[in-house]
Amino acid sequence: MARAVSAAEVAPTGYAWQVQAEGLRVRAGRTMAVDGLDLRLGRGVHGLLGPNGAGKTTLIRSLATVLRPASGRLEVLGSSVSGRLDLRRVRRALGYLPQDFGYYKRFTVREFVEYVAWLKEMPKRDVPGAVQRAVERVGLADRADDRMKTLSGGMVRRAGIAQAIVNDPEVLLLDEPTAGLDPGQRVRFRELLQELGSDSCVVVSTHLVEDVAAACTDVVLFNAGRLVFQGTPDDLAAAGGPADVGDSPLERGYSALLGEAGGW
Amino acid sequence: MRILGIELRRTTALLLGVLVAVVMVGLLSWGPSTKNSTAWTRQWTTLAEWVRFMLAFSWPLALGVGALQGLRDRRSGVEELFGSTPRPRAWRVGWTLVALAVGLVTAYAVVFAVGAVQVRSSTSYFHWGWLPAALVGVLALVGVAWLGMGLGRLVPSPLMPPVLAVAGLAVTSVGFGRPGDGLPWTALLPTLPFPRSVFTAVDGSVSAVQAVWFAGIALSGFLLVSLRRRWLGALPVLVAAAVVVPLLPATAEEAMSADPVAAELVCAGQLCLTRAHEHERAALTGPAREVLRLMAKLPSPPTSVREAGLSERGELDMRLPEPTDAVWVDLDEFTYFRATPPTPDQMTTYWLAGAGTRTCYGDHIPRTLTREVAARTVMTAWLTGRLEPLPVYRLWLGEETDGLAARAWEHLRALPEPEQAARVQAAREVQAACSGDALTTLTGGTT
Repeated sequence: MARAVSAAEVAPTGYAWQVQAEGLRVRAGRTMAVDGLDLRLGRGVHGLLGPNGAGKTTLIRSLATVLRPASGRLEVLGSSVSGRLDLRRVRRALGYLPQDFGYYKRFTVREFVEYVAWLKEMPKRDVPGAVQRAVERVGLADRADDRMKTLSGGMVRRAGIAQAIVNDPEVLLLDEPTAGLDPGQRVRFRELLQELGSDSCVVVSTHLVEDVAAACTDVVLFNAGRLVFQGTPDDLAAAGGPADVGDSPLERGYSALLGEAGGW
Repeated sequence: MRILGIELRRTTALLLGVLVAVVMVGLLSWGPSTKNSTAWTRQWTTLAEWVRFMLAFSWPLALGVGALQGLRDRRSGVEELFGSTPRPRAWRVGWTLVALAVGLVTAYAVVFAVGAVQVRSSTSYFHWGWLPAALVGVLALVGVAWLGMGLGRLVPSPLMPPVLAVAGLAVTSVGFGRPGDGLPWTALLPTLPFPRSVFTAVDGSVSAVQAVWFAGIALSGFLLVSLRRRWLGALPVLVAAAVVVPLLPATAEEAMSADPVAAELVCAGQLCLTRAHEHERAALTGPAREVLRLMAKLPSPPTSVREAGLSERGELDMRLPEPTDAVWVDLDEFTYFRATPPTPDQMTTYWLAGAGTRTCYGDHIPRTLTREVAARTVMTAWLTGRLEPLPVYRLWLGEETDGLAARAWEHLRALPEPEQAARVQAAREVQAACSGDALTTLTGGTT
């Protein structure tokens, strides 16, 4: 589908990495859930892996500018999001699917996605087209005018992905997007991820190793608030040996690396 | 605008609007607001005032439904997602508030339209004096819905809407008393006491003060919904209260002011009607002529029928004296403005009572009532030539007055004709002045 490209979109970027963190510390309640993280993420699909409580959600929430870092430096799209700065420019270029995706039950899918597009301050004339495209990309075109409360769990998840991608975000944050998707939908979702990763920075938090293998260009292994490993899925597989726990090379690599970090 | 469209469809705004319109039109079309000259469909002022009175029910409703709307964000769990978007919160919730306002303003306008269509056909006295009171009402309604939404956000419990609605009803019920009760505090209510006279209206200064107060409530609601630092939301209400409280009216006289234009008499021929009731001239010209014709028998007959435009109703124990050169009629008594208008003959009968004088007693019914009624009956009989009970005074006093009237009538008729006329004339003067006993005057003290 053709669409107008604004000057801002084709302007050269003033940053090397879409996401850059140095010594990042973020509090979640009383615990320091992200504790001294150094991380650089560029274009592509980054699978954020780690055991429960590793700080994945806290990291994603701080990338989404919902949580403010306690210390350290965090730059998203070249802008610091640590201080009390105007976050509107960054937020316009974000897409975010929270782990607990909340939505207005009385809205239709189309209305909700349009509402989020409005909240992201998209130019008015682009909204209807962008909404339709987003809804089509997640395969909800035939349910677009149904109320959100009539959708199944998997459809709600897809509507959540649709609202996240409606503004063609430069940084797309998906916190456990595959929860509730059936195997067929999961395959389609991985295709969508690869498509999205070709021109933006996609961060997908998951604890399903096979999602990472199938869709990610890059794996970020995370434990106890720190980076344990960053590399390609093949690198992760190479880290594991036959003696490690797991049913696939990736799982063995995962447990080998976490074993070193004391994650088990 | 597309967002407003979505919010109108998907929030409680339209439902609230429909509820408010149905409740208000329903209550107004039934009961005291349909009765007498002050019915909501008879004058512009009384239309505005009755609508304000019925806010007693729709105002708590708006508060509760507003609170229900205020629960939406917390109960849907959208704060996390929306917190990551660039659009400022005030702007986002602004459209929800606008949607609520659109629903309520439309409902209020519908209620007014239903009344206005009927008012237009029942009075020719049009003026804009009713507008401030009407605008204050809609401001109060919108303001309280916004406040409800703010409070719903502050305490996102499903108990909040019903608790607020009941609390709101408890607050408005304070205003159910007589005009002036509980002042100055009742002036802070959205409601007005129900209208007692078509010749008074809410004082403009009271409407201005109330507008400031309800604007403060509305602003507080907006801040409670949109600000992160919610305690700031209390500020506008406190500031408005500080400004308004010293300016509140202390007495009913300060709260209501006379409408001299409405009470101004317009005379055409021998019939003088107030501007407010000018519309009734066609129906009343015939009875007025007939009454004056019958009263020409008197030695010094009245020369016109004049309406007594009374702004005080039922407040005095005794009516003030009235000149005898006219037949004074009070159209606001329950005899004239009824669901089915009285016939010309009935009007003639009402006005002839007491030889064209009004009753003297007010709220307080005196012991001498039977004597007054008997005298009025006899005076009427002398004019018409037939002794008949007066139409409105039967009640429980019927037998006693009938006996008194029959004896006095016999006595009067036994006198020579000129003496009869002189006595009726004298009794008429006693009755007009409300001093002395008209029955004694008629009979010379024998009855």
